[in-house]
Amino acid sequence: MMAVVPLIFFAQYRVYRYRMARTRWRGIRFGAEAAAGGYVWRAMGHWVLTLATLGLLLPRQTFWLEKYKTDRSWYGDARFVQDGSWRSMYGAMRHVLTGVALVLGGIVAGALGWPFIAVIALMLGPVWFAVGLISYRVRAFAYLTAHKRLGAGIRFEAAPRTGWIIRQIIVGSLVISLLAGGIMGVPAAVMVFLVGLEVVPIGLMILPGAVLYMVGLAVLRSLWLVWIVQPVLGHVVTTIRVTNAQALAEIRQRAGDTGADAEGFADALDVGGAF
Amino acid sequence: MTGDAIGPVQGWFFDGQGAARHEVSVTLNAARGQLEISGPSLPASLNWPMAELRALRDRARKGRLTLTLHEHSDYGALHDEARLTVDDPALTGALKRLCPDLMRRDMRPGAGRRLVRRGAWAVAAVVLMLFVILPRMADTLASLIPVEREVAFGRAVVSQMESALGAANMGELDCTSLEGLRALNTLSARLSDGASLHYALEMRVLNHEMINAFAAPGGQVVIMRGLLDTASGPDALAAVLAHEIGHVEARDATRHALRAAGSAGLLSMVLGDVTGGTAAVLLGERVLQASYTREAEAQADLFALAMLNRAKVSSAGMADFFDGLALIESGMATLPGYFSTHPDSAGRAGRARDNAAGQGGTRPVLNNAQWQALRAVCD
Repeated sequence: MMAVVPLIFFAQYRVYRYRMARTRWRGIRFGAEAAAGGYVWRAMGHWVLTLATLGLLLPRQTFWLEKYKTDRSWYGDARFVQDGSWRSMYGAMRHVLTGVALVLGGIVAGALGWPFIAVIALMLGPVWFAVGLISYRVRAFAYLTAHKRLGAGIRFEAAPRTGWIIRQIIVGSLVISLLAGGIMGVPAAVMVFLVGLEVVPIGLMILPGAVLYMVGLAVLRSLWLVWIVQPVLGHVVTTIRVTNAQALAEIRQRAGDTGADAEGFADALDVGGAF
Repeated sequence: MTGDAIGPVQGWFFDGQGAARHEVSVTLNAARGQLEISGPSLPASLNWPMAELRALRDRARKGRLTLTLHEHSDYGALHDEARLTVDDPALTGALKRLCPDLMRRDMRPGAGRRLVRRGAWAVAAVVLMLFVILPRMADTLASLIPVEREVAFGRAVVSQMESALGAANMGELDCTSLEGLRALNTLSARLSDGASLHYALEMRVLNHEMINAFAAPGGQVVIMRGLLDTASGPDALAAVLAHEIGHVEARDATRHALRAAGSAGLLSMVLGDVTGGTAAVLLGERVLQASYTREAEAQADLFALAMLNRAKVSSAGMADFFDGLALIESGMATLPGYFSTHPDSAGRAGRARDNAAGQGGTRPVLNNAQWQALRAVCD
């Protein structure tokens, strides 16, 4: 399992580069430098640090990895720069830390013999922590975007509403579980029923079972895209503003990164052609 | 309205060379078959032929249309780099009506052929991995793997198989009647006595109706209750077990389980199943359907006959067993588990009978009381 970890980071950077190379705005291409190798060992180092400090250095990881990618990204002939500092991102983490504090407090309260407080804190803590993680991602994104710079003084303002995104994720998850339960649960129940009645031997159900399982994964993934990813992306995109847009006039087109990191099926299928 | 010009209306033009936005006026001149674009910041006015107009599929805002021209290129979409955005309803409506290829998805010439070719290569690569590389790797690994690792691996395989048979908890299907297990030990000891095996045999009976017995790597032999129910007697059972021990000793089981694990992993990658659910199911399934090569089967038969001879167990039981198989095979086209992969039962029965004719001084491997106890091991 550990042997796959470098590959995951490698793939993450290459996905980023692939998407950038095939994204245009105003007809001008984005691009990212071929630097997946450097990303792999940096990402692994940061993860080790973050895990060793039980997550306390998470903002440091988020900031430096984002800076690595941003500083190697281009829009036309203009380069992106990531300013700011990772220490300023602890504010974004406050709900995560609150969640942790609640859990720790609950354990202490339990040890001190205050069961009521302990139960409340231990029930609230994990939920607070999970919501805090979403909140951290949104706030960190807003901070990092607001401290990005493009070319000669083009800047960005990002004002995603954390509450809106959290609500969309919760409502979306509920809808997904309901729909997926309906779509996948019925055939699964029929199969269990048939086997239970011994109408068909269990061996005959292995192949349909595997197929159902694979279809289930695909269905979940698409519902996830429709109910969570796209709405949240739409919200984030509409809350970003470009300031000093007249400086865009100075930016010239860049040459296409031919076959940037995804030869093979991706290009044969022209999936990038939609942009 | 057709034939007449629509416009001029306002539009925004991006020349594809720079990111600056040009305010332009746009006229659709259907009579000339072109879209005319002009503006103060453009060096010259442009005429885009209607037949080559393409609209981008992703639109930021409803009612807006981003237009470009069809163009041959080696990179990305087959589009010119310039973009024109218009939002006048009359103009966008007319464009959608009058431009036949507005929404066409252009493919580079030969894209279909390339797709088929690369698909064929991908399938060939998977087939090569599954049927050539994996078996070889499994063979090499099976001869390198130390015995202790093999035993641990065998345990993993058995528990995998137990869950494939529907056990929620490990050991749930185990048959544990004391008398029965004692009889099984007697049988096992009789077979392995003086046989100088590489592995310490460990025999178990699982409560399942499948007529099957199988050998996991490292000396674990698993017998299904169905086999006890249908075996004609203890000698027949001993023959089947001797055959399975032959597979263990030849490391066929290890080889096969390694191969099954490899194929399952590879298939789950091909199917994009990251959770490994399919792999688990496939692995259990493959191990149960232990299909060895014909040579491996013939070797295991020889091993079994030698083992029976050494233990002074009559191979007539083996002949009976294969006769029974031959009978079932003639009656049924398809058979589950054990039988389908063990071909030519009549021939094997004949060889066992010939061997039995040459045997002398045999005695039953279990007495009747022991045999009844073993058959009742799951009760």
